[in-house]
Amino acid sequence: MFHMPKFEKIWLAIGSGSLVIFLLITGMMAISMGLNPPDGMETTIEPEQVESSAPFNNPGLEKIGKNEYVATITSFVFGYDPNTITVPEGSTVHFQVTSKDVMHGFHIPGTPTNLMLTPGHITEYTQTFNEPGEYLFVCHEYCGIGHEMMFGKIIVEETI
Amino acid sequence: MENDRDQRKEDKRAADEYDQRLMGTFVSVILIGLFIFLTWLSIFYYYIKTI
Amino acid sequence: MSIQNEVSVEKDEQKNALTDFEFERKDSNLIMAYIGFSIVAIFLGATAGFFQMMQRAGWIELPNWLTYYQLLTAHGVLLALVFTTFFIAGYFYSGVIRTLDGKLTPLERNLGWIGFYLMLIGSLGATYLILTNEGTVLYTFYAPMQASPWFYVSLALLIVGSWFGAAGIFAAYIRWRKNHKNETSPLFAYMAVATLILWIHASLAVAISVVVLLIPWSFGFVDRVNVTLTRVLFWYFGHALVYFWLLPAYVYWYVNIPQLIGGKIFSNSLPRLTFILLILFSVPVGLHHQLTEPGIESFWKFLQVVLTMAVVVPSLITAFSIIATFELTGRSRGGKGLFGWVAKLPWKDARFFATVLGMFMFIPGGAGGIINSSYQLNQMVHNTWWVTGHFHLTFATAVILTFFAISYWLIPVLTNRVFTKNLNRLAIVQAILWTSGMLLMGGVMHFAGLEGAPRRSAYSTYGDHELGLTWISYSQVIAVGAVILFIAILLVLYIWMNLLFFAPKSEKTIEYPIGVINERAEEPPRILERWSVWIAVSIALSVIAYAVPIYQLIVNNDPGSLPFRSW
Repeated sequence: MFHMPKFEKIWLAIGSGSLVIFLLITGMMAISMGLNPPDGMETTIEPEQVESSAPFNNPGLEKIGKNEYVATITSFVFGYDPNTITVPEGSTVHFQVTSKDVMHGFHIPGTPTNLMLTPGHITEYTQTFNEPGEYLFVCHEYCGIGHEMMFGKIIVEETI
Repeated sequence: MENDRDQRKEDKRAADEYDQRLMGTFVSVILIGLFIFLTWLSIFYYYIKTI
Repeated sequence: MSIQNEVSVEKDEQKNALTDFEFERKDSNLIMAYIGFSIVAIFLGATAGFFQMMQRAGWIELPNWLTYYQLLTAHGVLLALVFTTFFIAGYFYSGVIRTLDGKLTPLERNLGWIGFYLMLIGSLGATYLILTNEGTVLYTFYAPMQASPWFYVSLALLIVGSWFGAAGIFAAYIRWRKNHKNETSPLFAYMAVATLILWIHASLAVAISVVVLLIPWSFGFVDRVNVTLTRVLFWYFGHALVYFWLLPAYVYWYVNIPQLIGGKIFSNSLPRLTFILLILFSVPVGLHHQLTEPGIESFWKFLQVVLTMAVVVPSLITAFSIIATFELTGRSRGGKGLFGWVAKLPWKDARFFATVLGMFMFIPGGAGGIINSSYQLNQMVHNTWWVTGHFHLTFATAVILTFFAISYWLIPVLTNRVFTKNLNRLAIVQAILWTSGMLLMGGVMHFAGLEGAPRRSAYSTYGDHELGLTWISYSQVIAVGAVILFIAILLVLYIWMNLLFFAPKSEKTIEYPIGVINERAEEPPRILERWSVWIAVSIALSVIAYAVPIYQLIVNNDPGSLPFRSW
């Protein structure tokens, strides 16, 4: 029915095989190491009420253990609150971020912390900062005329 | 019987010959596949380094 | 087996007899209308892209009545939505008329014209609103940024218009099937029908989003909109949209190119199988555009990642088939050894050369695409310039160069003007410029994206952060690419103007190249033409992939969003 030259069969076997390998690698990392892209199912109340309801009525950094922090951040046109966070080297930071108005983004270049911020939803992701330095984070979803001015910093301090 | 076998041999030989005409195609797609595979591995390595 | 061979040889002769084909005036007018407006759209869209890139590199400042994001919206809407849809409609009508008994019935032609005018009104409306800053929401129009309601109405007209255009082609196909009982349909028409089935399936989702959710919300009939739901519906459409651009290029590669290079179509079944696989797998994969967002469970994201890998397979088949066609042709012309056949191909013919450059660029494009959809790896590149680079290689290079190549014979067939040696030479230069411009632009965007440079952002040094300054250097290399591309678009415009108005008239009929099927190819199995089966499977797959995530979005207490105008 579908006559296929021998070489094409080999090629399709190798090609599809590689795709299966990609899937096995990503799938195994997801299941055994819990490495999933952010997928928080939690919703907030109406985006206008974000400021008056927990946890976003008190945005900022909270220490919850040795070298472990929760960073509660709100985003809005055109900025973040807080827009600078300082943690010591080796810290693990649990981000929980939301938007008060339109779609925003939260990306720390050079790390897998790459989040979409949807109004009404809370995006969660955990990132460990092993290298000291000044990390930029930027809004990477178009949100209006000042989109390119929307950024902040994470300062990871060297510990002696 | 004998004829049948000859015929089959003949068919197989013709098919093989036809396949050989696609050797260049085979080498080309394998090179393409290799390129894609290596690109994927390099980004995978980049990801692994950051987590 | 031998009987089948005889049958197919006989059919080949019938097809060869058709090379002396001419369009009827009424039909060529319709095709010309579509192609003509697509030329306007690509010129405006490319110009917007050029100025946008000059701004982002920091080389110019825009006047206060025009913002970067207006240019970006114009660039996206005019190229991704308007140019493509018009060009594809014109190309499909031409090939469908050519292969389905040579002319349209009045009903089919009228459907084509209704489609054209609806799309025209939609496109002009959207363009006007973008220029007056009433619709600066980019071509993805993510809520809760709210454009003028008429912007959404315009987009709805564009989509509904394309359905009328598709209906004309379906009608022609049904008429042909009735008149040719028990025959296999011509490959071109088959592929056009397959592509349009995919288009209608996918665009239904965005139509629902626009008509049911966004239009009532933007007129103020309802206060709030479920943002994630509109995004999921958009990407249900959005990924199939990129296949809607790619499939016409595949049609050209499979059906027209073999005739241009003096070869034959490699197989009559595999191309059809390829298109069926694309119908099935290019819709239930849209969530791979939303891997990093909340409100959708990881399980469903991963399921769609698996399906995304499945949609790669038909492209693997295509790569083999196309190169095989080239090799068999080159060998039949005396090419020896492993790669001797390469030298026998018509490299000096722009209609071939431009296409092959596009095919080459599709290789890194495809590699990038697999990375984009590889679940966690997406986090390294999502919404960075990498993604923009990706579709500037796949769409803006592979597909667009193919469309240029199509125009170099399609416009002559319509105007009966000659694509002269000089124009051909210019077209080769144009293809080289276009490819080098895109390599500088799309290629460098990949690296900038890996360093984190966001897509869709105006000039910014991010508070003079070290990284922000690096991104500016990247921008300037990319802007050089934009300059080269702008020269290339002027060049192709010059070629088109000649083909439309100035090139010498031909004395002979200009050939509409339709490939002949290789005599060794078998008759395709009948099941491939049972569309109801494939439509049903396609819907079933989409339901499996989407039902639960959409259900969760609806019941999961999404508070909804009020409108914002933040530009």
